[in-house]
Amino acid sequence: MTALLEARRLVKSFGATPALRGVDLTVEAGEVVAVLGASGSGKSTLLHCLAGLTRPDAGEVHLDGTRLDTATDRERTRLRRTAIGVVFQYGQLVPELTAQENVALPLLLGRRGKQEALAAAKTWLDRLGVGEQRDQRPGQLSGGQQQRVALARALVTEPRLVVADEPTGALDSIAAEQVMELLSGVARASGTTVVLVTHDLRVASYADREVVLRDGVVSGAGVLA
Amino acid sequence: MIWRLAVGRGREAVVRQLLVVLGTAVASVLLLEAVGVLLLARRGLYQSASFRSFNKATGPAGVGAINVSYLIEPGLRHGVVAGFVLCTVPLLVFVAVASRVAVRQRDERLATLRLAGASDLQVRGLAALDTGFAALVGTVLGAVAFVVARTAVVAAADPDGQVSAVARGTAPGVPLGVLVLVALVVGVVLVAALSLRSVVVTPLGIVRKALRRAPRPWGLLLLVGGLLGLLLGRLAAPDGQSSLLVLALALAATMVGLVTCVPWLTYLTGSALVRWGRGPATLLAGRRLQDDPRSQARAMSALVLVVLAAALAVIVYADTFAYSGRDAADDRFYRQGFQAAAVGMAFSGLVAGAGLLLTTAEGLVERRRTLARLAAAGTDPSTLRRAVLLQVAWPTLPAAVLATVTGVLVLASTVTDASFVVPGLLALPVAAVAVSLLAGAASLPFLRRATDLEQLRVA
Amino acid sequence: MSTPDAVLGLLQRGPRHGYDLKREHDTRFPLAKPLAFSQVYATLGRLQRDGLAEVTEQQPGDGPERTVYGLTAKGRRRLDDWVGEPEPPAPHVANVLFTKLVVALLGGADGGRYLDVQRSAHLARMRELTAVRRVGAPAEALAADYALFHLEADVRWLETTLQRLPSLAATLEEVRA
Repeated sequence: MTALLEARRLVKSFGATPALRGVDLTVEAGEVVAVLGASGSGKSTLLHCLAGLTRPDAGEVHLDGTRLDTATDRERTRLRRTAIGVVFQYGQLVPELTAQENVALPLLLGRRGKQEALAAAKTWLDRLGVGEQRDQRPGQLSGGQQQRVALARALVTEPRLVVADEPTGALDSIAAEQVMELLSGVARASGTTVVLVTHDLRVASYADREVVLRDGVVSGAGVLA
Repeated sequence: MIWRLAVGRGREAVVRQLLVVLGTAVASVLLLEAVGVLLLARRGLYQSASFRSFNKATGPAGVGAINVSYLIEPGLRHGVVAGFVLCTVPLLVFVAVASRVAVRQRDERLATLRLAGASDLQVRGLAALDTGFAALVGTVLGAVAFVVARTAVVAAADPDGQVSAVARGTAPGVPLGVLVLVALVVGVVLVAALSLRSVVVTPLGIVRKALRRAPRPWGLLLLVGGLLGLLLGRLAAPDGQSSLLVLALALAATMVGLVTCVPWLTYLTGSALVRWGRGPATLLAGRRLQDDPRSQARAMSALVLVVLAAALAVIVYADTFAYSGRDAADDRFYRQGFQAAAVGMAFSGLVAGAGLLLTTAEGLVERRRTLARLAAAGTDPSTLRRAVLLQVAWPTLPAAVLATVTGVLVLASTVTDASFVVPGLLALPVAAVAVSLLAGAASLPFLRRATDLEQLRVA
Repeated sequence: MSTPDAVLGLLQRGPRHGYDLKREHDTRFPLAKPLAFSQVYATLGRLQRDGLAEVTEQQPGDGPERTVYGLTAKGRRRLDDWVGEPEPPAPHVANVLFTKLVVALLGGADGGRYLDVQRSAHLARMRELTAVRRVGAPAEALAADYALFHLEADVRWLETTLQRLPSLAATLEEVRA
């Protein structure tokens, strides 16, 4: 079986600073993979390449048969709307929209009807335990609640791949735990593949395996549970 | 070091300074012209024969054929002065908007100083310094430009000619000129210091943006009150010689009321977009307008006033040319007046547009991170572009319509020739929306920069 | 306690007197209890018996201080195995982790690789514990939480220690001289 996500020999530099110096990564469908590494090891850059947010200088990225690194901007944007869900550490919700509207946004962008989109958004908010907060603005929510809304937004389009960059970085232990329980639970229930970057080992222990980045290359293979 | 505390580093701060300088400079030139024309009476120069002999100029059209009746007749002269002053209003709005470019960084810095123990007064002083210095430089530049341009014109023209006479006659003179410029700087600085209120009260106010209350339609009351005042004023003196003061106050109330209505109208537009809009662009634009109607409205107030003035001009124009049977010279006299007014209004309209552009661009830069995250989550660029244009164009329509209607009501009793007036008036909101669309389109490069994911270095 | 392995590790750079071994041990492994001389010689005796160390030189004079000990081939193999394997993950193994890290570095191993191997083992255990937390009884969940926090602490400490590597290497060289 071909893997869902495959990266080969990824190279990316920012000016004179090399971030990725030849990274290979294979992720099977339904896996939850944690990417570990010190700051500056290139893990965020790797994530950006995997999600099609940025093009590598060299190397290939294949998602479910589609070649990401050579896809056009428009194509990659479309994929991010439909097949890839992205979660950041913070600051990803539109402050002016309510929680429900934020979650409905990807569906609205996909030309789904407004009522339909809002209804789907409500379903996901309920599933993640923030249904009560759906009419509130992000600024009125706690950090944990905001991240759950962000997660709902990433999941509402039922993507094949969810990519998360330090999703619990700004949260305390309990809130982090809740987010990770939800993320891994949903992933296992629906077979969604998850790649998450983290420096927190307890967060990484929710994954099936870990990949360690050091100085822009993968160091030490992960151990299958 | 005080300088760095007040102004800060970085490209944005420099842009802010430059824009304030530019706005103040142009405003200075206009104000100096206004003062000069106003002083004509004091000089008694207009009594001189040489001056009067140019009254009914029959020379070629253009600069040389300025009809000095405008300068001689007191009513008309005041009109010219008023014209110059009114043109400064959009400029002052522009300066107010410009002084808020990248203001967030500055206010964060000032808030930090407050936390570190700086007093209310000290922090306000720094803000005043930031804007005040630029305003000062602007006025000096404006004054210099004014003098240089005048000298050049006089030097190039025929010393006994009309142009020289006019130039000499309308030179403001140093004491009054300086006074006016100082007043300008002080005014600009006051506005800057006052707008700091939130930072001074809560140093942490920058961090958490509390939910501000929606604007209320108080302006409407004022507007209606002003219109009633005008109506009553005219009715009370059927012979047409109403008290100038009453009329002026009523007009002022009308204008202030109109401008104060704009935030409320903007909020309503936002609500309408949210409620009846279908796609993501209207949702984004509508909520943005609901969230922050005031900054959009601030920039739109200049445009609204220009539309009001234009509506008045259209009606007066139609009224003036409604009946023929006037000699050619009079005709040209009036036409020149309207042409000059049209130039003034076009200029003001552009300035208003520039203010809108600045506000929109500023908003895009400030929301850089949210926009980048939107793009990262898969929002396509065309949706974002549509949202920006909707946000800047939609609120302009009701505001411009209100301004046009107000203009009609102000001169209610004199609307005569509908066949000209109606198309003319209808064109105004259309023009206003066009200006705002242009401003929005011109700010799109900032959107592109904000959502450039290759620059998404720190996620 | 991993005293025998620590002593083996100290011997990998060359034969030593018992006295030097004690001094080096106390300097390089500050987390461990200082070694008594009797302990040193007892350990050396055991290593000898197991064929991991041998007497390489017997200098003239009385007393065990005159004996110089060194690694055997078997001892070297045993050392490589010990360093190559991760320490079984359990809370409060900092002592042993550190000992192993220093021994590895003395042998010229790549500290980063050692860290990766150990972290992998710790993470595997943490995965088990996280699963337990999800389905186990409340008491089990609390115990698992405790273990998780401490396992993470151990690895984080190891990572930090590795970052202090340059200064650590300098200290190692000083003691050699």
